[in-house]
Order: sequence, then C-alpha cells, then structure tokens
Amino acid sequence: MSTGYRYLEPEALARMKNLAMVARGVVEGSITGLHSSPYKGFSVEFAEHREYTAGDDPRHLDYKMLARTDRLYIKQYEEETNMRVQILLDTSASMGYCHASKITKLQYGSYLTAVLAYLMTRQQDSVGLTTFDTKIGLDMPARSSPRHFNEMMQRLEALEPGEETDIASTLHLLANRFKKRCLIVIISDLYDEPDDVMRALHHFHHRKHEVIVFNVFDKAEVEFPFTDTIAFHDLETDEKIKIDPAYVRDAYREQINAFIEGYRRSCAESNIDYVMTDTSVPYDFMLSKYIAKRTLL
Amino acid sequence: MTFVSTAFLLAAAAGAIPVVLHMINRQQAKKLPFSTLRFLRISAEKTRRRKRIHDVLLMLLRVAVLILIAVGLAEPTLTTLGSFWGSGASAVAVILDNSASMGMVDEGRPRFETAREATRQILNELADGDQITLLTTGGPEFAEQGRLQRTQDKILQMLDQVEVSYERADLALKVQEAKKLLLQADSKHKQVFVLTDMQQLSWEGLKDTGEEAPGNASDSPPAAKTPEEQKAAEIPVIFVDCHRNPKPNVAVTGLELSAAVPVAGLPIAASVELFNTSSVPEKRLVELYVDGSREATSPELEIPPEGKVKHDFQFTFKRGGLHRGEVRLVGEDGSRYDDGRYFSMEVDQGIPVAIVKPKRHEISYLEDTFYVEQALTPPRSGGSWAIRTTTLTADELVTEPLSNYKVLFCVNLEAPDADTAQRLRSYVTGGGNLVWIVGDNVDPATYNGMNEGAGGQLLPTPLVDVRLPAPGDGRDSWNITLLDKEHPAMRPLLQPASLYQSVLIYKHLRMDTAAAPGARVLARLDDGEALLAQAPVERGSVTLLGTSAHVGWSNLPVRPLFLPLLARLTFDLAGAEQARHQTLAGSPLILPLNDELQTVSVEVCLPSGATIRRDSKPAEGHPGQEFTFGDTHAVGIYSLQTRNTTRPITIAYSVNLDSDEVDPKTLAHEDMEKRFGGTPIVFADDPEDLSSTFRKLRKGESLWELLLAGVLLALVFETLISNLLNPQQEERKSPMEDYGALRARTGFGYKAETSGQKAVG
Repeated sequence: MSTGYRYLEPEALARMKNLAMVARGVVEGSITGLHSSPYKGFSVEFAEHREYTAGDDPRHLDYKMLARTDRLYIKQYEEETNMRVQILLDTSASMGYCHASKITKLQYGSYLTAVLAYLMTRQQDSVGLTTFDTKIGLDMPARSSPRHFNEMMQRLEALEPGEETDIASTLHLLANRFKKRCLIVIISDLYDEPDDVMRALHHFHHRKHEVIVFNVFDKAEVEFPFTDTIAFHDLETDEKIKIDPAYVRDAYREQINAFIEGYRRSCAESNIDYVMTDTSVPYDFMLSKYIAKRTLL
Repeated sequence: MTFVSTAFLLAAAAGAIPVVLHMINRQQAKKLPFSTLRFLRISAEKTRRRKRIHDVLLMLLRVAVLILIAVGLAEPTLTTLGSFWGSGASAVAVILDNSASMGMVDEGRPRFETAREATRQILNELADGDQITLLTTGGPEFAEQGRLQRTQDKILQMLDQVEVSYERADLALKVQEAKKLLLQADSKHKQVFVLTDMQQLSWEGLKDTGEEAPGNASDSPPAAKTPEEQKAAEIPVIFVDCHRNPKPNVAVTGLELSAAVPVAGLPIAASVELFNTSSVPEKRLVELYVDGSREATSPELEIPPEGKVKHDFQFTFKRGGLHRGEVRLVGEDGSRYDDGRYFSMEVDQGIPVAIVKPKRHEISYLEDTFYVEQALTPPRSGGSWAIRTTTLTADELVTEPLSNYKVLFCVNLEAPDADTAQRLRSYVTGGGNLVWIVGDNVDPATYNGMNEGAGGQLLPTPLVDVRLPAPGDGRDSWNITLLDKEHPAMRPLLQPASLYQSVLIYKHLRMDTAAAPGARVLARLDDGEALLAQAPVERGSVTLLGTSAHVGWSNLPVRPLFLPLLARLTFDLAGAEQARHQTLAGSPLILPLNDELQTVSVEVCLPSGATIRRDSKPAEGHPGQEFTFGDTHAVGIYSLQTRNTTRPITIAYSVNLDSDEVDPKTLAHEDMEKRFGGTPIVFADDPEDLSSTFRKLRKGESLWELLLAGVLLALVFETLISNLLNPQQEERKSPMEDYGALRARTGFGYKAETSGQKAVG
C-alpha cells in the first residue's frame, strides 16, 4: 500500500497496525470476514442443527448426532462477513477553523478519514466517503479495493472548507440513501441545532445502521484562551461581535460544555458512540484509544 | 473650602484622560475569525451589564484619583477654620487659668509655666492693630484686666506678675466674660484662647453660661438666643490643653478641729485628711504646727492610689487667746499648693457667759439668777473653771457689747423693748447663743409679740401659756421623763435616770412646738409637754427653759441636775463656734459689727505679715456696721482687729485651698465640644509649640492628608476591581485536559504545513 498520501502517515499506520475495527452489531456484507452477518453460513462459530436435505454438503453432517439419534443433521455456523463503512465528513466553513493547533478541523477529519479507510481496507471491509456542508459534496460508495482507497486519498487532499452547515437535513438525506446496514462514521463539529442533529442520527439508527460520531473541535473553541478585546467574525455567516474574552470566558465555557455534554448524553441514550476530540490531540492516539475501548465493550 | 494654589486646579482636567482612554480602547479591537458565534452571542449577552458596571466604576475611580491629586496639589483648606484668623484686624481674649491645679508639675515643668509660655506665643502672633486682653481666673485683680489693649506692654507686664492662685477657676464664666468683651470690639476676627489643664471642676458652671449644647441636659427645648448671644456663640474658642503626665501628688484635703470646750488646758483633736491623686501608693509624714512651733509629727502614713487616709492629732492650748496653726506634709511632690492647711482657734481662759437679770437685788439669794450664777460659777471651782460669768441687768442689754459673750442667759426678764430685741437678734444672727429662762415676769403674749417683731428669731417656739396642775388632775407636779439622747449636751445627763426623773415641776410655760418645725425639744415632761427647746438661728441659736430658775416653779434649781445641765448646755453652745472662722481662698472675710453704729477701723494682718487698715461699712438689712475684706487670694491666717471701739475684737480667719481643687479629673475634648454646642472649638496640638495651631487658624484645616487618603483608597479600590472583581485569567480544566499528558508522550506532529487545505484563524 502506498503511503505517499498527505493524510496517511507511516508512523500513525505503524502504531495502528495491530488494531482491527470490528462492527459492534451485525452487518450485511458479501465477503466472509471479521464481522457478524445476519446470514448463517459455514465458519467456525457454531449456530444450530438443521435436518439434512438433499443437496446439502455431507461434510457438515453431525455424525455424533447421527450415532445418538439415528437421524441426519447438518451443523450450521455463524457466517462472518465484510463490513460496509461509510464516512461522512463535514466540510462546512466552520471546519476550516484553526487557532490553537497547526491544522484545521477539516484537516484533522481528513487524517481521521484516511486512517479509518486504511484500517477498513486492510481488513477487507468496504469503505466509502461522503462530504457535506449544506449539501452533499463528494460521494464515494463503500468499496474495499485498493484502487478505491487510492482514489479516496486523492480526493481527500483536494477537500476545501465549504459553506454554512446544515447537518441535520443532510444526514436525513444520507440516511435514506444507504440501503444496506453499515457502519456510519460522522466526522463533524456538529454546529447545528443539537435536537435536529440527534433526530438525524436516530434516523440512521432506525435504518439499522451503527453510528459513530467524532465531534471535532479546535482547542481554542473549547478553552477560549483569548485575552484582549477581540472583534470575532463568524466563518460561516460573517457576522461580527466585539467582546472582552475575560468577561465572557466563563459563560462561553458553560455554553460549550453544555453543548458537548448534551450530545454525549443524547448519544449514550441512543446507543451511538460519541467521541469528542480536539485538533491538538493526535488522531491516531485518539482512534487507538477508542478502538481499544470499543473492542472491550 | 479654599485653595492655596488654585493654579493646580487646572490639573483636574486630567480627569478626562481615563474617559478618553476608555473611548480609544473601545475603538481598538483585534479582529479574529471564529468557527461560530452562537455561544459567544449568548455569553456576551449574559455578561454585558457586569462588564459595563466594571468599566464605569474603573473609569470613575481613575477620574477620581486624578482629580483628587489635582485638588490636593491646590492645597485645599476648610474655610470655616480659616476665617478664625485671616486677613484683617483681630481681637483676642486670652484666659489664663491660674487656679491651684495649674501649679501641678507635669513632666518636670509646672502647668502654669507652660500656659504662660503659650500666652507669649499668642502675643508674638499678633499683628499691628490687633487687640488683646488677658483674663486670669484667680489671684489679685490687675487694672488692665478686662480691657482690650492695642499694645502688648501692659499685657506682658501682667503676664510676668501673674502667679498660680489658691482659688478654683470658673472658666465657663470667664469665657462668657471674654466674649462679652470681644463683642464690643470692632475687629473682623475674634478669638478666645483658653489656656488650662482642662480640670473638670473648672467647667462646672458651663451649664449656667448658656454655652451648653441644646438638649444636652434638660428635656425642655432651649430658649431662642438673642442676636447678641448668637454673635457670642459664633466666636471661636481655642483650647490650649496644658495637662501632661503629672508627678505623683498627695494633698491635705481636710482639717477638722474638735473640742468639747475651746478652753486652755482642755484637749483639742485635729483630724487631718490626706488624698493621693496619683495612681501609685504614697508614704508621707504630716506635721502639726501651733503658733509657729512644731507640736506633733505623724507616723509614716501610707495613702493608697487615688485614696484617702485620716490621721488624728491630740494637743492642748496652754494659754487662752487667739492661736494659729497649720498641718503640713513633709517632702516635695507634684504640687506645693495643696501640701498644707491652716487653722485658727480662739481659746478662752473661760467661756464668756453673761447672766442677765431683771434688776439687782440687795439680797442675792432672792434674785432670780442666784441659782444660775451658782451653777455656772461653782464656789469650789477656784480659778480653773471653764466658764467666766458676767452679771448684767436688763437695762444694760442696750449698751453692753453682746458679741463679747458666747452665751447670754436671760433669766425671768420682762419682754425687752424693740431696740433691745433688735440687738439680741443681731447678737444671735451674728453667732451668739441666747438662753431664756422663764419666770413670773415672762408674759407669753408679750414675748410672742417681741419674737414676731424680731422675725421669729428670738424664741425657739411661740409661747402658749403658764400652766399649773389642775385641781381635778390628782397631781401637783410633773416629772421630767425624757431627755434628747442625741443632743451632745443631754447625752451625759441620761444616766442615772433618777438624775432628771427626780425633778418636780410645779409650774411651767407651755411651748407651741408644732408651730416651730425647726425647733428641737431637749427635755419633755411626763405628759409630753416640752420643757427645754432649742432652735438654730443663722450663725447662732436660741434656747428656752420652760420653768423658772427659782424654787417657786420647780425644785430643778436645787436638784443635782441643774448644775451639769447649765454647764453642758454652755459648753455645747460655746463649742459650736469653732468652725466659723475659716473660709476658702478668694472668698471674702465678713466681720459683723452689729453693736457699732459708727464706722470702725479694722486692721487686717495678712499671712505675709503685712498689715492693712480699712474701715467698716453700714451693714445691709440691719443696724450696725459690717467689715468685709475680699483680698484673700493667699492661704494662711488673716487676723482682723477692730481699733476704734470701746472693746476691741480680734478674730483670726484661716483661709485655705478649696479641697475640690485637687481633684485630678479632666474633661475630655469630646465632652467639651458637646458642652459648647454650636460654638466653634479648636484644640491646640501642642501647648509648647502652637505654630501648627496658628497655621490651622490662619489657613484653615488642611485637607491634603484627607485627599491623600482618598487617593490611596481609590487606588486600592481600582486595584481590587481590576484584579479581583474582574474575571479570572487563569486557565481552567477543559474537557480535553485528559489528553494533555498523552500529547506530551506521543510527540505527534501533523503535516499541516504540507496540506493543500486552507487553514484559517
């Protein structure tokens, strides 16, 4: 696999080479793999017995059962299949913000997308990428081929922050598009009405998709470290406001904490994995930690 | 408020600097992009009001600091004080407290010397055209006293001559006098300086002067002030408090002489009271001097702090006549003015008593006065008897100088005529003791008329009638059953009771004791009627025995009770004279010369030994002469002797310091301000250096220190608001804090610089 892509760092890949992203629920795939499939097949995980019918492979006859009962039974096993992962990357203007770190939230999301795609592709899972702001931008369906992965990496490098955010309606739209059960990975700052966003996430859940949300912030958005009087202007709306950060810091922190905690609580209630991170945290470390935690659960 | 350097007030314009800076600061703000303003809008809305208050407060404090500094540089002063002694002529009254307490030595220097030096400082401050007067609280009067002077020569002369007096000061009265004097001056500025030790005793008269703060003492609303009183109240009073840490002091505050009879050879008791004014115990010796020679010395007496101790001396006068004495503390202490106390006592070879009879009889035992004379001059007493009697007739009452006798026994006299009655009255009011013994010549109605004509001062009670036992009573006499056991003359006669119970009274003159509440009944009959009654009359007394001194009315003259009764009564009446010839320094000596119709020349021998001769003046309110001597500023014995009278009189007055003057209590400045109410009051900072006080009076009370304190306070508040009340700048734990250590460990780096994405922020 090539590592000459901007968002694919050999050091990060080396750290994560022993990790496997496993679907927590069952996924509908066409290739036998790591993940539980709703279809019964022949693998190592015993599922149940079934009476032999003509045409069944005699290799799967349970001879012990035949000896005890004098009847022919076939042993059935849980079929393991490949996972479909669709990464939804927010490319709104707010994702282009960078203050405390060297990279923007969009760049951080791109790193995250790249390493996730690498992990999925390596374990024979299909991975797709969809970008969105007020509308759907790039839309790559899930595939597991190296060629697809290479294209995805190239497309990532060309991403630019877009316009305003309309996460909720865009997610609703996407939820209707994915027919097969898959793992939905959303990478966004979620700057939209939390209730609307949560309804959209429930929509995914309703469609039997498993959802993971990576809520990405810049550290300055969380800690608000500014001191002198500053005239802030909104990256999305270009609205301006002049404030003394010292006076509003506490109130701002209360607001942002309530925003984050609201998502954390709602996601927990909806059985959605919610990971809050900021761009100063190494993405591979954050992802390693999350995957390790997810595997334990 | 006035300003010394008004130019600096322009610097107050610097107060606009914070406002301008505030406005400039508003316009300058760094521009930064931010991902979303949704949270900032809400936060800014929540904190906008708080920020505005902080901003305005800070701005106001900074403006205040700059303005206060500018005003302070302009040297502001309170004009109410500055007007006391500003430009234009001044009239100044200096009240120099020279009462005895000013003789106290404080920190090695008498208070009075401090006050005198402070007076000189005041004089040095006066400019040409200023008027000044000097008032002292005691001692001899100076001709210049009470007059405003334009030159200081006479005031300086007077200042050099003034000494500490033995008199107490009435400073409230002096302040009032000074203000009245200043009201007559046409000067623009008027001040009263009071140089005193703030002794509380000196201000007791403050309530009477009208200076008292309204509503301070009485519930009734204060009377409206007249324009003149209002003007007087506006004159400021500047106090120079000369009181410092006094040296320990013991004072002789009391001396009481007591003797049963002031007769040569009989013991005299002198009780001395010492008072320790300091807060440490003191040990002192006291010496008794009689007629210039030391008679006795006390053992070492320990006087507790602020406590009193009494010591009794016993001594006798070896001869009759006028004696002078003194008790004196041994050693030095805080004040020499209260270390001694003088006394004088006239001691007779015998008590001079006159027995007045209606007329002389050829057969002595038939006279009414026979038994009285026998009782008062016992035949076997020889020359050592303490009573010397002189027999007079009623007619001689008109010519005899009655003041030569301490007791006058009038026996069975017909009621004296008006002139004689008036002489008797003068005798009694002047200190004589008149004893009436009734008899057949006494007509109650005539006596009552005489008594009424003399203002009720000749009889202890009105007389009712002469009483005999009624035929149906079953008795022919009464017994004496009750003697006044509290009376010093009766007390020795109580035992045995048979001494008075054996007396039979066949006839007596009833007294209306109910009509004379001031009268004291010394003896009563068995039916309760008064037999012997006594009443004090001014400086003397009148006594009446309700039965005769002859055996016609009772057997009293021949009973053993009679002699001791008259003797004890005489001793008691003669002894009551003792306290009458003493007075306090500064109080006038009054010698009544009731028997003299012509001007009497009196020679006064002063304590210094100098002799002054002055004439008496007609007495006011009654006939006769009266001699008054007011120059008693020095303590000691003042001897008064009449010169051109038929029988010269010599009386010695002991003049002493008022014992209250040793009271160390002082009046606090706050109390003084309360008592003076609306009058402007200033207290000098240092009596030894009045320069700061003069500066305060001329320029007013400097507000620089106050403004400096204001600046410091404003700066403290500014710092508080800037640093403490403003939001905290330190970092708080963020939701991402958990990753801090991990970030450090990983050393992860991005390739953002190689990214084609555009980073903002």
